[in-house]
Amino acid sequence: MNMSYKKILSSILIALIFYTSAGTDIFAAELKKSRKNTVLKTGIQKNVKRKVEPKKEFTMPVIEDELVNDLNVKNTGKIVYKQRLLADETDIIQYSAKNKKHKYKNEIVQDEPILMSSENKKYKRSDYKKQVKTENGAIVVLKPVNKIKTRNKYLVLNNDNKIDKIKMSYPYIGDKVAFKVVNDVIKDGKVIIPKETIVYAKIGAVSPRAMGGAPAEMRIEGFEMYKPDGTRVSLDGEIDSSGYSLSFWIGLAELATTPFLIGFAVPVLRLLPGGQAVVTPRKNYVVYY
Amino acid sequence: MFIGRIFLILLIAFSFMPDICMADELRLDKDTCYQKILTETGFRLLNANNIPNRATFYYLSENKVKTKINVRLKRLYLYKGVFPYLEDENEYAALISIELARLLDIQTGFFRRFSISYSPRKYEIRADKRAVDLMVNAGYDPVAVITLLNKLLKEQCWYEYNIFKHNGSERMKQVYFYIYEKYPVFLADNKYIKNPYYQNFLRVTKNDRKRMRLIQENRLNTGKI
Repeated sequence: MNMSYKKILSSILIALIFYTSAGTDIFAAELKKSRKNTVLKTGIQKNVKRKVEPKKEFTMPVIEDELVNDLNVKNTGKIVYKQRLLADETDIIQYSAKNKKHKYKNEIVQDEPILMSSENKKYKRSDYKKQVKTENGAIVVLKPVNKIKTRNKYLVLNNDNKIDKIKMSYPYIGDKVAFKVVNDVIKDGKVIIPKETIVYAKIGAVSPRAMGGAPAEMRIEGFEMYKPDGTRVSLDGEIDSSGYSLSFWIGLAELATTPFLIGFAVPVLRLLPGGQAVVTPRKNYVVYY
Repeated sequence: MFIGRIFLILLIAFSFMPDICMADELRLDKDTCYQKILTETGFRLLNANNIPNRATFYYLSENKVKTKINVRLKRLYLYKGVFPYLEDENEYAALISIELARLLDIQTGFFRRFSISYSPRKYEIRADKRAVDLMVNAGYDPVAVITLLNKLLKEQCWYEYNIFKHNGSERMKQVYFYIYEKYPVFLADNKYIKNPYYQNFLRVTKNDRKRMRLIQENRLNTGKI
């Protein structure tokens, strides 16, 4: 039975193969015939002229200018062009020619009149000429005649019928103070400045005390004395004095009390000011001749 | 691990040495003139005032508008960004003398440093006044301090009260009052009267200057001057 099936199948396959291979040739032959276009061959016409329409030439349309009539036209035919100003432009030109409001004017404001004392009027500006100053001269030991201490003073001013109280630091800048020479000043075997001569000085700067334990500071400068013949001699030196400072101790107290509850209250100590600056007759001060 | 360690070392080096590692370019042709002006004015101020301590002045080529002082090394640094604000030699001297006055204040003593740290506003005004003295002794015009401060300093509102610094207007007023009391010649014959920055100062401080004049009148009338 198996042998019979095999024979049948093989015969069918062979027949199929034969048919298909032969069939392609048959189909190709039919295709070739159709491509030859034997059906359309009768419909084609030769030597036929096409109708081509002529191209339309473009010409720019001429627009007539209505304003040309307003212009001056000479006999020669040339047109003289005259600029025509618009209404806005004419107004602006007329306005700006008359009114120049937006020009920057450098107005200089004058300072208040400067009131000077008689001494300040004699002041001469220093002329720095790169001179080498000699080193220390003869030592002059001084003592203030009176105690000089910084403090705050209130000035009452009448400003346009308004009374103003202004806090000023005393002594004022420019105030004269007196010193006394403690010992004879000897130079080259001669007494240049005898004992008990009065030496005058000026208050140079005063810085008032402030919160945070900052002390007041004072500078005394401009030492000068008068010789017996009346000549004025200036002495070289200045005195810098400052009060006691509480800042270091406030800082220490804050550090030490930080682990404790009281540490929260200690920064209130920063409200305290320092001490006043004092120049006392108990101390000796040195300047140079 | 080795690369990580190198990276860490470089990171630390860059963080502690920004001036060396990230500095702006130094143009020798342009920057030497600024350094020269700085040192000349600085040493002129030191010599004219007979300051016994040494100090050195440096020009830093970083574009920052600030100045710096090193108290330990007694050095004064001016950054490049400040120089466009300086117009003449008086303003150069003003800036240097303000910083020099601060440096001299700190060097006064051990306890002074604590006072300055606890009340910096007081010592700021003190340094400005001392700067006026330094300039006058060296032959400069102290009114330049006012024009310089007007250009550089900020003006804060009342609710932005700074416990460390004054407003610019307050500092300028105090300088003006000091010059009025001590060196009025510079205001009577004022070379900066037409300077726009000084003119702006005059417009802003009308009432304060009037008050100063009244105080001076009071002192002259009572014979205290």
